[in-house]
Amino acid sequence: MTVHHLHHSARRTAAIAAVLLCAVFVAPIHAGAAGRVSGTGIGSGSVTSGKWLATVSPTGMTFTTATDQTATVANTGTIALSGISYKVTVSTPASGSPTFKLYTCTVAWSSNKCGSGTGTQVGSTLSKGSTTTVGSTVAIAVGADEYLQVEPTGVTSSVTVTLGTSINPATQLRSPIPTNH
Amino acid sequence: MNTAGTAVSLSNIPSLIASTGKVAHVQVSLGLVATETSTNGVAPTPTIQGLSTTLAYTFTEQQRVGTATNQ
Repeated sequence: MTVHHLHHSARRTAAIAAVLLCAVFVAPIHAGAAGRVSGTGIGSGSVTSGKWLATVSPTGMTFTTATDQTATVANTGTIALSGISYKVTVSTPASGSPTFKLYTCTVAWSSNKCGSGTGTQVGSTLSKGSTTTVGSTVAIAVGADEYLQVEPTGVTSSVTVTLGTSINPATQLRSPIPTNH
Repeated sequence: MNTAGTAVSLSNIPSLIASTGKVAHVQVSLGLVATETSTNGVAPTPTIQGLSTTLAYTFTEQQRVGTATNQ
């Protein structure tokens, strides 16, 4: 009898990841030999999962004039994020038909500018009385921030925009991590 | 994919079916759930986030039943 014992131990963070464990068997089969030959390969591996979390602050903005407002999105998890979905709710004002656009930037907004540019629009124009989920593909490292700016037009009375984050691991780009070979 | 945690037969490992000295590379792949959505910085309940586990596997190989060939 030929017995192969394969003991592996590894510990890696894995979020959406798969863990790959490999075993190699050498065939101990001898054609024509008397009896039957068998063997066993045994192995194990430790697996840990990360956290994919993000918060936005503030979560609510009240517009009484057509002045841009900003929010900060923080990666509060333990893995880098390659995309975040935002649930944007626009209230219905007493008057007027304001519209809003959501922009994202990798640096903090300054004087309504993303660096020297305008940032990247996320989704399309948002209307009053709507709830829309839009997706941003800006990557955020662990502990880092993404910066949002809500740009209104046509505001004639108080209207509120509410922001929420949503992270589905299926939208992330994390590749499988082999832990044992 | 074996989701039941029970033994399954691997009948498609040609290297071992061939001659003496052949090597078969067998890979175990563990996929974590990809449908868990975190909302507003909060993981769902229950969640796999932040958890850990150990994956243990055992492969048993056995010689096939001999077959007669022309001598």
